[in-house]
Amino acid sequence: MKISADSRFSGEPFGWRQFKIGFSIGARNLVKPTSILRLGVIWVILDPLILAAIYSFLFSITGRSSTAGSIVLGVMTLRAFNSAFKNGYSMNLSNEPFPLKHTSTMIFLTSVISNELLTALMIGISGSSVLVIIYDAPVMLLPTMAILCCSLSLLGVGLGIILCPYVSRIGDIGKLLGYVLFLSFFLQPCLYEFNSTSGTHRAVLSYIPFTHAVEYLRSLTYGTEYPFEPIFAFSVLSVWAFFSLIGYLSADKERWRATSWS
Amino acid sequence: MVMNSIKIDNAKIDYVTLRKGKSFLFNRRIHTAIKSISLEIKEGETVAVLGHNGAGKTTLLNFMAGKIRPSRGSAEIMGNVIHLAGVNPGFDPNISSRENVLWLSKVYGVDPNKTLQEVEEFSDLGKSFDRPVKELSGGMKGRVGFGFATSLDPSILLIDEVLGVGDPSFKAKATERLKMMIESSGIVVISTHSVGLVKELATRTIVLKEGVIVHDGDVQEGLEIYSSMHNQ
Repeated sequence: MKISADSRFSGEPFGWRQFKIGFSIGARNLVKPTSILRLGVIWVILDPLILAAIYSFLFSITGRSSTAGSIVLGVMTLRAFNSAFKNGYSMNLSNEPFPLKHTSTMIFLTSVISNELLTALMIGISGSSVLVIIYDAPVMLLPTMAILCCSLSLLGVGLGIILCPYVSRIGDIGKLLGYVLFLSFFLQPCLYEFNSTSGTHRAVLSYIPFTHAVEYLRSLTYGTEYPFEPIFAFSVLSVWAFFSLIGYLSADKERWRATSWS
Repeated sequence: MVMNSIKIDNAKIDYVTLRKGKSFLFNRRIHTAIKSISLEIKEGETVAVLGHNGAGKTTLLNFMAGKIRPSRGSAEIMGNVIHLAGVNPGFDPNISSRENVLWLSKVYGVDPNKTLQEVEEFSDLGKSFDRPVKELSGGMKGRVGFGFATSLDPSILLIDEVLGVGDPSFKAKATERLKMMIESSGIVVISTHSVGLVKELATRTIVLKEGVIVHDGDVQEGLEIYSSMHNQ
């Protein structure tokens, strides 16, 4: 099926036009759910901060107060990935947000990616700011955490898109995935360090991208040694990035299929 | 400059539904909305698509708008398509009509200030124009939506039975505005049951029956076939 170039924003390069519309939709979708709340968009930062504060408090009263900063890192970083992954698999692919005109997959994806990247950026900056201010973490943590949260978010959306067609056709899968994410919060090195794990659990964790990201941030914050060989970390992330890319590349095909499948 | 045109070649459109059956597994049901359609619409034509409910009119218009991909066949749609299938252009209910029009103008790629002026004047809501859309009545929302939809400047206009907005005086105003939009568009395809509208506006009719074109051409002949289908 061939449809001529979108004439919106005539005079500008086609790709830039699509990006511009997609980005403004994504940015708006980020602000929209909080627009009716008094604190507005600040809730995007407050949500993970409060969650991190609760877990820090819980661990401090159970005698593990030294890990409070580490927990903030874990919770915030995992939040960046999980939020993107969840939004990726629960996306309504057949949605036409502006019914008077077909919204191309390029615009559709740009809006989703922009939304998730902006969320991850906020999570990364707010989390690292807390650590720099309260726990005397190095300033380098600010850009590093922001970049890693954004990377995890990109990975999460792509992986979510792979599952999206199945979730939209069989709702039960979505419910099960919700529990998997809940479980992953406790099984991944979010509330504890990778070095405190052992056996099969440790082996499996070493193949999870979140482990690599959060352990790198911990090593940067506390000056400890990064537990993986760089080449191993690169290989693991490359494999996951490959699958994520498959998700992005299949989005158009799956979106079209979703228009006539229910 | 590329001329506006719609070319559809041997298109078939299936809807696939997965439903829970008696067993644990899901049953896959296929409903063919369009069995096989080939047509070409050129610049300057106003085409009325007629047919009973379920004949495939809405699917055909969604297909022309690029919202559905065919199971078989191909289509080439050249032009700036606007699909009037309702009067909600994508409102955010939490913000005012004014803010919505400004935001939607950016998304649809039209001049925000010019559109705002036009929609505010046409909808005639007074101070309510600055109230959140969720606080407006259905009719009021319809006025703003219709005003916005008809302020866009399409080269291909697809209309799917969209004339039920507001009180009688507003309906007359809306019909007038729609006619102006039709006159300024390069290609118009209208799906309707209104024989009067077809007689007044159409230069060609397409009659659909169970996903197949049973007539494509003369307006009068098309209307006769359509009314004979009613009598069957």
